[in-house]
Amino acid sequence: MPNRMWRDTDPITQASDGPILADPPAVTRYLDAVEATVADRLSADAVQHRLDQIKQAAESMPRSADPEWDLLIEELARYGYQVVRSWILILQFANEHDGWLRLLAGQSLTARDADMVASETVARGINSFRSEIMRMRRWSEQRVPELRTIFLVECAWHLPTVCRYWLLKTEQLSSDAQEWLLSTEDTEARAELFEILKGRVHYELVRVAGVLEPAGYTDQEITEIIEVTREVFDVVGESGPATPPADRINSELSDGEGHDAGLDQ
Amino acid sequence: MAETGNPDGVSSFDEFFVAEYPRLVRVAMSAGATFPQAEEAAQEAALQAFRSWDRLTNPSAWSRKAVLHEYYKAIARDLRELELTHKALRKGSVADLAADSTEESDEVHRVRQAIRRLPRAQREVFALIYDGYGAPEIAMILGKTPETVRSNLREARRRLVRELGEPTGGDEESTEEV
Repeated sequence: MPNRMWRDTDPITQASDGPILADPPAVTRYLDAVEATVADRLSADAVQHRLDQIKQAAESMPRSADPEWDLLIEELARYGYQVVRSWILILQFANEHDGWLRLLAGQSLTARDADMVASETVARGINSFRSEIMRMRRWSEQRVPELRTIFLVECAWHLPTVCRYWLLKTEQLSSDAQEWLLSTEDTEARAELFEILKGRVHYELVRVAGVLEPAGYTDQEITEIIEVTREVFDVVGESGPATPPADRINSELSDGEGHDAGLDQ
Repeated sequence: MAETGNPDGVSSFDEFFVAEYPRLVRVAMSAGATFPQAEEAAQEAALQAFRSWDRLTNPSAWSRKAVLHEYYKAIARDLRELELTHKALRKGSVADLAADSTEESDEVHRVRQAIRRLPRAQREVFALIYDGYGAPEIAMILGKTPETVRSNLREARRRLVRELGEPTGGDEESTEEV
């Protein structure tokens, strides 16, 4: 029999500023089912087993100070910076598009600005990537090659927000442009960024190369950037604005599991 | 694990875990998680608690907030992993992503989906109420005022009644004091 004690005494149901409806019968039955499921599946032995598993997992997780973890982060950051900065150059180049990219094109994004946007994006990407890695304790060697893509997906999610902050700080922005930026959801700006990046990288590869070459990218780097960018924006573009960004809580997570990403820096 | 004299009165992580783990699973399920999702979120929250044990002053409250966060994070992560491996879900919603057991009844599925459609703030309050907390405690856990907690609950139940039917006993309203 399920233990009903945990919700037999609903402690909140009569608010001082008015009554609160009771649960519909279907909800009551659902909660009964929850209670029965937990009671059935989490016997004392099962709970003890979970406890042992958690302790074992905690002991097997390297701390953030581990050289392996530091190396991974360092390499990902270096790699991510090059790719993200190339995205910013492409964005600058896409000046004939409507929407907020037109606003961006109207501004003179200096090399220092581009560095700042890229660095901030990568820093945010690292923060969220750490928690992703933390969660992936079942990560296998076979999946290591996906690390770079996953990291860049994190960066892609942050890029529109960082760009928007940068634009809002730009004093030259018109009042209309400011109003548009302030009233536009991140998701909308993100969708527009994805659209332009995908368009540029997918369909105008020669022109993309033309943008990156003068910036010092080698042919090999450009080829790799085009390939990885296509993969990244296929992922984030498919879900687009309908997908909520990862829940980026400031949890107490501070340690990560290190992996050799095999990055060829 | 070293023992601690935290204000919860729990002397060791083991003691804490045995008492709280099933409740953490229930909290996540009350917020719309399936049992496997709830277990994963509870295990992640417990793992964090274990690693931070010496620093936690109120592990029970902390772990409830953590389990809800972990549940939402897992949904977002699962969505991305599915997309990365090109397995499925090109245009579905997050709620659709969480594949439910085919063994569950239509009603369980319907209620779970209704809970998942609640705004996050309402879901969290909804889940913690059934964990036995009152408005002041929930307010403390979630960083809200008790009035906001009551407001969230009121709106959550209104929505659920709209979607799922009348409350138990027709238009009965609760009469217990906060």
